[in-house]
Order: sequence, then C-alpha cells, then structure tokens
Amino acid sequence: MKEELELERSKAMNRRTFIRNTLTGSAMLALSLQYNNLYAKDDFVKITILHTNDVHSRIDPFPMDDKNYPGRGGVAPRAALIKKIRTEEKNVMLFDAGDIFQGTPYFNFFEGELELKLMSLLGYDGGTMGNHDFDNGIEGFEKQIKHAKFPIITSNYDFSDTILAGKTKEFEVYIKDGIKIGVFGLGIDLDGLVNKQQYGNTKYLDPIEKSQYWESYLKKEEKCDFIICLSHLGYKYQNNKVSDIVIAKNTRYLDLIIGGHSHTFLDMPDAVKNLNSKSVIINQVGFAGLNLGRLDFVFERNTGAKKGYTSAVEPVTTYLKN
Amino acid sequence: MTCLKKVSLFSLSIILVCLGSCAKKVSVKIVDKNLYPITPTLPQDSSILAFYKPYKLQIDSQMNTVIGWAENDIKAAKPEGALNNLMVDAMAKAAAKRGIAFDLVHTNYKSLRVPILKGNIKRFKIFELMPFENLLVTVKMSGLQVKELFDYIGDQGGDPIAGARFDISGGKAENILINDKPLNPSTVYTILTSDYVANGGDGALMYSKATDRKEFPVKVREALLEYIGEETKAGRMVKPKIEGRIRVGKKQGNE
Repeated sequence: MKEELELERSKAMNRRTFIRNTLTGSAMLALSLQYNNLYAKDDFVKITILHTNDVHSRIDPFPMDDKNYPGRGGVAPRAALIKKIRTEEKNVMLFDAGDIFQGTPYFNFFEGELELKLMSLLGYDGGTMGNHDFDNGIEGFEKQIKHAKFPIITSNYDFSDTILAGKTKEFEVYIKDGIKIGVFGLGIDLDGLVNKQQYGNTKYLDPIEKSQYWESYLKKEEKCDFIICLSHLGYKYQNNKVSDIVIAKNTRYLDLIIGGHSHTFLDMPDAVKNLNSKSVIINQVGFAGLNLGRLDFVFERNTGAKKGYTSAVEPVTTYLKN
Repeated sequence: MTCLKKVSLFSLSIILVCLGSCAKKVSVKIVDKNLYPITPTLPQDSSILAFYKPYKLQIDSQMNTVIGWAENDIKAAKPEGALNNLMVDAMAKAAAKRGIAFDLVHTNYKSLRVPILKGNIKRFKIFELMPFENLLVTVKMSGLQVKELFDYIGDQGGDPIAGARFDISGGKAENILINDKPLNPSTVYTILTSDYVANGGDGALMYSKATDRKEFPVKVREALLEYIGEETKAGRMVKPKIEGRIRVGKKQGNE
C-alpha cells in the first residue's frame, strides 16, 4: 500500500517536472485529468474558497431585458454551481464580503430574511457586514440575523452599546482537513454613508489597527495556517481612504482579502506586498451575484521535508473571463 | 496561438505563498483561481427555486405590472440628466399634492441607481431605481446656506434639483435663480429633499445647519410611482426634459 502511494507520488512529481519543463497545452490537459490525484496524499490538503460580494438582494437573475446583464446572476444557478464544486472538491469554503441586503423588492418585502435563509441553504461559512446591511437599521439586521446559519464576522464595528451586542463575531477559526483557517472582517466607515439613525451607537474602529491586532492573534494565539479578511472597505481609492490595498500593505500575516463595496470586477486576483514583502492576495467579483469567485490553495504539511516541491506548478483547468 | 495564450495566463496565475519559515507546520503552495460568470445557460438548483417560489410569487404578482411608458431612455447624467429631473419633479409633485410647502428640491445623484429604458416601465424598475425606504423631508436654509449647498453640488459636478437654476463655474455655483428670482442671501428658503440627504448623506454636511426639519410619511419611491401613474392615466408617455437647470460654465482663473 505504502509503495503504491510512493509510486503515485513519484508519478505525480514526474508529471509536475514535465509540466514545468514543457508547459504545453496538451501536457496541461493530460495533467488536468490527473489533477485530483496529486492531492490525494496525506501530505497535501487542497482548500477551495468560493466567494461573493455585494449580492444586493439579487435572488432572481437580472431580467432578460436588462441592458447590461440580461439573464445574468441568480441564486439558483449559483447554488447549482456551488453544489457541483462541492461534489468535485473535498474542502470547500464559501464566504461573502457584505452588502447582502438592498437592491430588489425582495428586500423591501421580506427585509433580508430570504437572502439570509438562502445563503444558509447554500452553505455559506461566513459573511461580513456592508453599509447597506444597515439599511433597515441595526434593529432591522438584528431581526434577521437569526436566519443566518453562519457567523457574521466583523472586527471593526463595536456593537457593544447596541441591540447587536454579542450577535456578531470578531473572528472565526475553521479547521479543514487539519488546516487551521482564521477569518476576521472589516466594515467601512459608516459616517456620511449610512444615516446615524440607522447605525445608532455602532462605533467604527480603525480597520488597519484591527487588522494588525486580529492577524497577530490568529497567527500567534490561534496558530492559524491561513488568514482571511472579509472586507467591505473597497478595493482601492485615488485618495488616502483606507482600502483593501492599504490593508494588504500594512499587515504581516494576512494571506487573502475577499473584498467588496467598490463593485470591482477583478478578472484576476491582485497580489500586493505586505510589511514582510510577502504577497497578500486580494479578490473581488463585481456585484449582484454576477460571478462566483474561486481560489484553490494547496497546503503542504511538514515543509522541512518537502522543500523540493516549492516550485511545483499546477494548471488552471478553466479560467473563464467575465 | 491559443495554447500560448493559455500558457501565459497559466504561469501568471501561479502565486506561491509561503507561510513563514521552515519551522512552520504547513505551507501554502499553489493558488489556482477561477471566475465563474453566472449565466442563463448554467443549470439551476431546483430545490432552491422551489424554496423561494412562495416569496417570488408574492413579489412578481406586483412587480411585473406595467405602470407606464418611457418615450426614450431616461438616464442619469451630470450636470443634469432626464432621470435627475424625473426624480426631483416626482418629489415636487407628490409634495405639492399633499400641501407640503417648499421653494426648491434637491436630492443626491447617487440615489439614481438604474436608468429607465425606452418602452414599458414595470413597477419592478422603480424598485430598482429607488430601492430605499427614504421619506420626503423639508428643511429651511438661509440664502447663504443655499449658496453653500449649491457650491457643494457644483463641486460634485451636479445633483438633481428642481425650482432652481445655476451655472457651475470653477466648481462653484453662480447665477443662482430660485423660481426664476436671483438668490437672496437673507431670505429663508424651504428645501424639499429625502431624509437620507437631510441627514447629511453623501457628504452634504451643510444640511446639519438647516433648521425646522419636517419629515413626511411619503416615500420617495411612492412619489415616483405616483408621478408615472398619473402620466399614464393622462395618456402621456414619461419624458422628462433636460432644460438647463444646471449648466457648466467656463472655468475661471488658474486652478
């Protein structure tokens, strides 16, 4: 049995070397057929992260007469796609970066209940709060949060003096196949964006300070292998306003920012160097559920013994442009 | 060629992330990425459709009603657009009908979320255009404060206004007319707006100095639905005009 595994592994390594040396389309195809085999070993754990942002109550697809996105989006096709990926991958995680609410009559009629129930059915693992999630006030969000069977993670809104106190989480730790993943969440400054009446006694805390605090905590105390920030700050701004880019540049341990708010369509994730000159990946997939983002991370245990693998490359089997 | 392109995309897409030194238990090796556009050709999850069908029926029965017709596309624009004028004119009409007194109307450009396209206007479109539950509000400002407000609007490149005209010159408001009369700095004017704007939304901070705020139980969306409904009842198409409420003049001096 062990020998078989070794053989498989060496085949896999050969395949990789072959790919590295040749990089032809046909080789990629050949490899993609064997793709899952490479990670069937205990040494490797593949984690597939799926994500949305700014879905804005888009439950139905856009109407067919919509000028920009006829027939695009919709929770039912998104659900089918996620289900399909779940059958193909062992470790799938699903996150949302805020502005779940507001934008279609579903929100006006049912006040966010349906959005959160559907996200729960789709198996979201976590979400953060966008400015529009305050549209029916903190009371409006509090009324619906019971329908979310996943944590609302927000680390820079202090709700202690509000009805939401204790109902959101500052961070969450997930364990997938032995890999520890820490998640924190960042919301945008509500002043001037949301009426005071709606956000009440919510205190907005500095997102850079909070990022540095929580990434250290997740890294050092929780010993997380991977750290994700769900951010509703926006991708980047012309001025000095804090954005995902600014957060990436000012942190040390954060690995991935799943962004929102600016409705940015990134064809490819961005990679920004952090304070330790390491890359932080930033991704955002537009708005209204037009796209589902997917990032696959392969974790290797016992790094010391497997240095030879560090330059291994694997194909992107499908890369569909928006 | 296609292959080559694939390869370059492929190599670009490889990002190696190393989580600290060799002492660490695990390291991240590879990142692959996919963007899945959700298109009408994808299969649908029937259990999800079934789950929300009762909600959908309730919405659709009301939202698919055709409430009017647009002669042309009605779009937002700066400094002035047909959609800008439709919004404030609808607010003005709804207020006037209810005996709410005001001199001029102002709302924020960002509240114009989607255009109304030529042809049938469904109720759904108005919910898309104005999803928020904003209410009509009046506040009072001195002529001086109105100048400050219009300077802010000028700096933004234009906002929807009614009952007033001005030119933007060097980012400032000039030649201000309120109901065809020059702005008088000492006169107190009543401004009709939404509660969002009156609360200083979108950076309209001068509203915090306004006085005598009155909030009315009339939603901005209701005003729009009413306006379109009345045009339809009168046998008219909806065709808001661009009429020079805000004009951009030549910039002055060296900026």
